[in-house]
Parts: sequence; C-alpha cells; structure tokens
Amino acid sequence: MIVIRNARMLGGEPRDILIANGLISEIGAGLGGDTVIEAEELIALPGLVDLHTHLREPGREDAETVETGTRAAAMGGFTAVHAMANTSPVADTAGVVEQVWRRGQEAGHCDVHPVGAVTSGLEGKHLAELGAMADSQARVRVFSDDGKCVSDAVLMRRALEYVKAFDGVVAQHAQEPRLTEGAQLNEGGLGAARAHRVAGGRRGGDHRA
Amino acid sequence: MERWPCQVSYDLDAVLPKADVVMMLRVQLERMNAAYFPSAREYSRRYGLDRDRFAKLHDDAIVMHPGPMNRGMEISAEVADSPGRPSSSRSATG
Repeated sequence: MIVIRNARMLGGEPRDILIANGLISEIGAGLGGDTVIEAEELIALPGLVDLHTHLREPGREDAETVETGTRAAAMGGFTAVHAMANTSPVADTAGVVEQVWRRGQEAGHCDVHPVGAVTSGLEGKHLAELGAMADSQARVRVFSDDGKCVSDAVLMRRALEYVKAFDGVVAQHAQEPRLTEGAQLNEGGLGAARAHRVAGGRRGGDHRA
Repeated sequence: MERWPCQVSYDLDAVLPKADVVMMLRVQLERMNAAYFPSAREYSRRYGLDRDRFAKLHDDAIVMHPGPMNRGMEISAEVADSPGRPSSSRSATG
C-alpha cells in the first residue's frame, strides 16, 4: 500500500491518497501505508490524455520511438497518448495500428491509442480501412490525416458518415491546401506587421476547412 | 433516414437474429469511386452475409438479393448457392 501525503487535489485542498493493488482505494487525512510519498505543495491530477502526439514509429525511429515518446509522456503526467498516423508505413491498416499499439504495451509507460489515417497513404483520395482499424486490437476511434488536410469534401463527408458505425471521430488538420501553398505565416494583423518577405497564408485557409 | 418509419442500425450482427427478411444490396463496383466504403475487402468483412452471419438467422427468415450476386463480396458463395435461398426473383422482373 502506497500513501501519497498532502497532495493538493486538482490544486485545491491537500489530502492523502491511498493506493492499494494499483488502484486508489481511499482519499482522506492521516492515512498510512507501507510506502510514503511526501507530496506537500504538489498537485494531484487525474492522468492526462494527449489527443495529438507523434511517436514516429514505424519509420522515423531516429527522431522518436514509442518507448521514448511514452516515457516522456509519463514524466509529464500523461497516462494516455494518441499517436498520429503519419508514420512510414502510414497507419492506415489494422496491421500497422496493431503494431503501434503493441509497442505501447511493451514499453508500458502509458496507454498508446493509435490514430488511424482517414485516407490510404494520407493521399486524400481513398478512404482507408477505418472499420478494420476500429475492429483491430488497437480499437481505433480517432482518425486523422494529420499533417495533411482531407480537402475532398465528398471524402470528408463519407468519412464522417462511416465512423458513425463504431462511434469514431475524425480529427481534421484544418488547413486548406490550395489557400496555403508555400505559406509561412497567417495573413492577420500581427503577421502583416511582422512579415517582410514571408509567403502569406490567407486567413480564409483555416476557416473553410 | 431519421424521418423514415424504420430503425437504423450500424451493427449487422446484432440485428440479424431479429430479421424476418434480409434484403441484400448488390454492391455496384462501378460506383466504388464515390467512396462509400474503403475497399471490397472491408465491405465484405463488415457487411458480407457469410456462413456465420447466415447461421444467426432464425429458421423462417428469408434472404433476398436483387441480383446479380457478387459471390464472395456482399454474399458468400456458400450462402448464395444454399438450397431454397436466397430468393433472386427481382433480377427476373427487373
């Protein structure tokens, strides 16, 4: 039994937290346990969930891996992360999302929820096998072509309809590609004041998507 | 469809035991580019009437198909060619 002493619950009043068998079993005052962690002035929060991370595995293990990314996440208080699909190969099949999920299990630092690509290869042309990814062991429920915008309106509509079958959501990278070709900076007031020779993205580029 | 006098489900396996009639659709391969679903493989896996799904039907249920059937796609060959069903009279009458 582990007791965390005097932690400020959600930043509020300090309490003791008793943990038995990996679960919080009691919150109160003056609690005792085999292992004591003094947490005065520290804040106790529920595990944070990051809806948008890049674990870069498979394909870019030189930049990050599921192991390193989730270790960093856990250090920051995140107990679950969603890993975006722009890996190599792209996470657009049950096979790849299951691989990422399994790597998360093996690393054991936090839960990894692979995000499935909306379109095959992130090419924005054909729906990926969203159902297969949802039914896989990875239980994908969030789909995104992040990095790219699903700019075909029909495809986006089909994706939104399709994910209803398994209570999924589509997370859009809302950046209309034609309006933001070569864009570096938003075309707002602050951007105009700061930019000299920087290519501008029209403000409408975000709103339309 | 919310205004139609019917219930809508996305879970075929859940509704098959209650069905008296299963009306198949012929998947129009020529319309696949309209992006209704990702691939023939996924459609077949999620919505195909295969032997396991066929077994969920009660004894008096009938299976209908407008024809022609894409065996192995929306309906498995085993089910398509089973004695007595499915009834494919619609293709005769158009």
